[in-house]
Amino acid sequence: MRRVAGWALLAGLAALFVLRIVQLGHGGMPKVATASGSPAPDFEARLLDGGRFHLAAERGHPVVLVFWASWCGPCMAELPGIERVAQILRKPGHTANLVAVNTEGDRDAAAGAVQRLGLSMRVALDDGGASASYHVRTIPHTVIVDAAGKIAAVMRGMSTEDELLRAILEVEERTGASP
Amino acid sequence: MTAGNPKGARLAFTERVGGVLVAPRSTMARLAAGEARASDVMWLVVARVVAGELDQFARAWSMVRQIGVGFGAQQMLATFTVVLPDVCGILVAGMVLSFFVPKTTRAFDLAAYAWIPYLATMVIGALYFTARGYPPSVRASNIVTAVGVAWAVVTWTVGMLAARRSA
Repeated sequence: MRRVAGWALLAGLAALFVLRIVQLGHGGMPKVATASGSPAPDFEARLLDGGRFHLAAERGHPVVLVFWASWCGPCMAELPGIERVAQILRKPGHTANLVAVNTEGDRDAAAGAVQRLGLSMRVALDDGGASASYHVRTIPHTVIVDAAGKIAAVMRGMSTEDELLRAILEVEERTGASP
Repeated sequence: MTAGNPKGARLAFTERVGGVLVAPRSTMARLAAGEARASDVMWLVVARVVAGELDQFARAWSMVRQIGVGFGAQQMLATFTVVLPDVCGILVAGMVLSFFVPKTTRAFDLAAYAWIPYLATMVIGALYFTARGYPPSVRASNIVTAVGVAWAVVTWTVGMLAARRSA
């Protein structure tokens, strides 16, 4: 019985490995979680261009939170694509809002990166509270909050434009937030 | 005495690993008596990272090609941090266990085996959601983690009692 259980565990790991390979071959596992997500932790943060961002005030439409920092190479490589997604979301037919949450706590560094990349999306300056609430251990880290204020998807690491847009569209449709 | 394992013969790798799951009391007693192998859990940790984070490794590789070796290596290292909580948990469990068991017992090795039920729970959960095609929700993930931790704690306790009894 011991040996059977041991082989079962090893077989499970092997099966997981094979399944992941198969899914990678089909474009990877969809990132959107089930509809019954946990409530997204509320937070407030200063915006780079003045004013404040308050997650609870965004209830009623999906919010995409992209955690990044100017010292993070993958973040800087990903941000131009995120900017294009943000511009798409501004067009009619979309209700989701995208906010890039800078985790450095350094306004000048964030502003420099925004200027270098020519970003026009909203940039929030996190003092550490949001990162802690969302258990952001590595960046880039993307969280999609649905219209009801629940976490609909969490994407660790870099995401392509298509992946992110697909996930956002699915959340918009699923929560009925798309017009 | 188990089928295929004559009395007195040492447990094989699959028997040590599987025994912690299905026969924890007798298996932990034998592990505490000297049959524990530190490398067992090390191999399982590596297997868990490779099997569970394959998509992240694929991303790291694509980053090497698209952006550069530095960023790819950064992503690779970040992927390995997924097991940091597990490793820290094993270390803490080993430290606490060392206070309750005889000095001759390899407390850290024994505590590492208590992680195996947690690994089994994670693998079952990962297989379920991977087969379904979507990642778990935060709530589902927390439930799976809680079950895994509870099972590991029970196994840890069994191991501690077995080690004390064997003294």
